[in-house]
Amino acid sequence: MRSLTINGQTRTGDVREKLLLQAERMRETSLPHAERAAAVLALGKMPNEQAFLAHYLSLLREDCSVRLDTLEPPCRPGVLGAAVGAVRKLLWRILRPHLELATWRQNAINADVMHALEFLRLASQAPQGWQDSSGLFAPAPDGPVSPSGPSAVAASAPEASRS
Amino acid sequence: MSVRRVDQLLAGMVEGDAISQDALLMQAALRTLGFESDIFSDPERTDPRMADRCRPFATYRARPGDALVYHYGISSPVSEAHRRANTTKILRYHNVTPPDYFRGYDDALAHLLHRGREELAGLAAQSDAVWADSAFNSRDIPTGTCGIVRVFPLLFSPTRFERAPDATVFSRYGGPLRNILFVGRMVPNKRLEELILAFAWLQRKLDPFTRLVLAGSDRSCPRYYAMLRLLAAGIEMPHVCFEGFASEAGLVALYRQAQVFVTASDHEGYCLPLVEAMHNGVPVIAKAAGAMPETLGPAGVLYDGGSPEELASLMHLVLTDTKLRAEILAAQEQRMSAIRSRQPSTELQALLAELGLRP
Repeated sequence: MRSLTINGQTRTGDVREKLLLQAERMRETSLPHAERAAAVLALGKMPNEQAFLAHYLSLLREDCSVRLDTLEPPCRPGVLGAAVGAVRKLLWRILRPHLELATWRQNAINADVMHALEFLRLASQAPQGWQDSSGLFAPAPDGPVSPSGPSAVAASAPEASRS
Repeated sequence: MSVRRVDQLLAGMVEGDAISQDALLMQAALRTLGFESDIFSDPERTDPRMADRCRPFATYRARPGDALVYHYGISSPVSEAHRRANTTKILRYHNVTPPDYFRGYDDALAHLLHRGREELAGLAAQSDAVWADSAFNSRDIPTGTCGIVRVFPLLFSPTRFERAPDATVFSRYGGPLRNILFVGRMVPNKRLEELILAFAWLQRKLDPFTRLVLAGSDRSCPRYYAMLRLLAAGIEMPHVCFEGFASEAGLVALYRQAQVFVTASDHEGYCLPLVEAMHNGVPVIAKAAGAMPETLGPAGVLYDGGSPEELASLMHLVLTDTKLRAEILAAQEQRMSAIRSRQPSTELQALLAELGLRP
């Protein structure tokens, strides 16, 4: 932070210094998922919409499932906070099997939607009938389609669009 | 010169949009002064809810002796009607966002913005006066293109916030979490990714009982919006809430439930939500960019540069330091007294008189 103004008064010398110190302490442990954040922010540096879409779908492919294992109930400091936190954790354990089932169903739907998006992207690249512009699904010398692309599922899309 | 009509041209009319609000308030002020005044806009970019407030721009017929105000923020077919008009012409300049923000996200919109910037000098040269929202905007007008360039800040109507809050929105953001609010369109120049990252530091390291509420239309740049959603999901921030477009009653509820208003926007021609937040008694944190220092005046918190951790620390300070909050709110109230006491009709009368126009 280069400068800070509060109510029209420059507070760069005092308040800003305190903020910088606090930020420095926070940086001692990094935020989780920093790599993921960087990969998503790279979407802002794409040269055109085609590149954006390709990168966007690759990100979705990596992360289209819901995970429960990283979620932790928050806990306020102090004795009361610890007590309330303990109750929250107990409730979380009781509810978890039910949530696991709901999550499994949601993930199945997410995967299907993801595949549909892949099909649409491939179809949009081939306005006059499907052509393998990517080379990912080039026919093998003896003829049949070879699903050697990013996902074998996507390979069935051109089949559908040709028929 | 005595004129009968002062009409207005807009690229589009959308409910809740700052430029549309400005045109409606100007229309009311012009009618108070005794002018006849209609609003003409592109029907393809007009919200059906606003259709009864304006007419298709193709039906506009300029007559010598009338005056025309063109609200300009993007290249559009409406510019041609302004060019052809044989009247006294005023360009109401709301700023054109630099196109580079949109490249990759929306190449067609980037192209329109690029053209909008290119056309600005020509439009200014064909106008008798330019009324810019801010001194920041007035600096975009190339020197020598127009003899009269004046700053006429965007108009604000406090009556919009006198209605009851939307009960559903109000209850959605109640409870023990403290709300950090952003209001504005989800477009790349607003740098919402900086807010989300700063909020992640705040929530994980300083205060887990906080919530970031992002309210505003998500249709202006869908790919950017998709990126924001992916970012919030990727760093596992369930307390980032994408509220979408807020009705007027919804906005009242959001401001009433907000503990702090934050914007990391890089480019603003005025930023009306800063005024709305101050009016509703919400402390404001804004990046010292574009016209925002002018809009805030000697009130609120302005920061320049910095990492997401530093912005998180600043948000935490304004959320928790009660003495500082009181000082900020007092200064903001003083600033709002000045804004609320503006007399749009008197200001307009003076601006029109400078062009020799009176009813």
